[in-house]
Amino acid sequence: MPTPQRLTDEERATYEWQMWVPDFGEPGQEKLKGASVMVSRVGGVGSVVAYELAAAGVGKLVLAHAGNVKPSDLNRQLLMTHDWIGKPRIESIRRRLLDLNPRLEIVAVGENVSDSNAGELVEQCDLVVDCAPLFPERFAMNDHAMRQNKPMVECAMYDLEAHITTFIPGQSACLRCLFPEQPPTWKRQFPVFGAVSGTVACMAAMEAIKTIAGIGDPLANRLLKMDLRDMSFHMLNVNRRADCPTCAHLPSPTAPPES
Amino acid sequence: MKVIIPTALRKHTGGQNHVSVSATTVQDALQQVVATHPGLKASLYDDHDRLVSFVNVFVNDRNIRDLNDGATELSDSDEILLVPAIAGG
Repeated sequence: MPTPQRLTDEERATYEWQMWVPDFGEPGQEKLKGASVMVSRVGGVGSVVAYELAAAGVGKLVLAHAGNVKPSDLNRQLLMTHDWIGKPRIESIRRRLLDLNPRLEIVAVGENVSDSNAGELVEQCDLVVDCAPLFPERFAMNDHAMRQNKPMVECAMYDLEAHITTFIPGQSACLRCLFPEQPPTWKRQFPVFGAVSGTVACMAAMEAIKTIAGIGDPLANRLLKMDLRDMSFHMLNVNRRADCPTCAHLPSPTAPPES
Repeated sequence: MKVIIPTALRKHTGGQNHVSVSATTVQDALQQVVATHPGLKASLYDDHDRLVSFVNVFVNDRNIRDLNDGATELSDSDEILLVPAIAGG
């Protein structure tokens, strides 16, 4: 995890209310300031993740998202604005984040994640939040995050349903433990309310904050499945696969010595 | 007992969010669900009648992969969940 960075007086004033969280405090804020988080894509889920992390004072965001803003983005992709239709999404994302937090360092890439760029992007961060709408992007981030020993928050939604879990290399299941293969029928376009993508996004941002600051219990080896249609929530156990092609080789933490 | 149908597969159950079955094993339960809603079969089983890897099946909070797969025994109070891979982002 990152090296904590000392806060300025302006930062102490900005983050005062969250530093009142007793087990977070100024040491937790210093960890966020020193942290770099990758978010991709920065659409319905990723926009809200990035916005919450920018608001919380994460020092650096690595963001990847291709294409230009379309009217159909605007029901959920909260970093896109009407006046930016037809212009690059990544510029809208950068502009809106810096409006909120001008201290934020941003690495903004106007392309989507693929096998060819995932390694380089993951190298620039301490933690990944996977918000991609296609499985090849998700698997690329998972594989590189596990290879580089970086935690990854995995969040996804469909219609009024959402899933979230956190992968800790060597300590928890990874995406390929959970789903070794992608479903052949998954389509790029899916039903979505912004309130659903935003719900799971806020949870994902909190998972990132907890993991960086070392507070609470991240969703390692647990998958939270929620159906907002009837507000049913299920916490499910997910375990590593001994035959996982991505993470089976990673050593498990050694058991503490018996006293 | 209930088999919870995820949103992404409800087009095969006429929109129902669960199917009620009476079964002693997971395999029995899923076969009853598929018999009632044949459209689900292609989403749950491959050409060799094996469960597909992109749908996890849980009995309460435990993956049948960590239990006894399809032979996992059930009691009346158990709840079965189908959890497919989704990627909306």
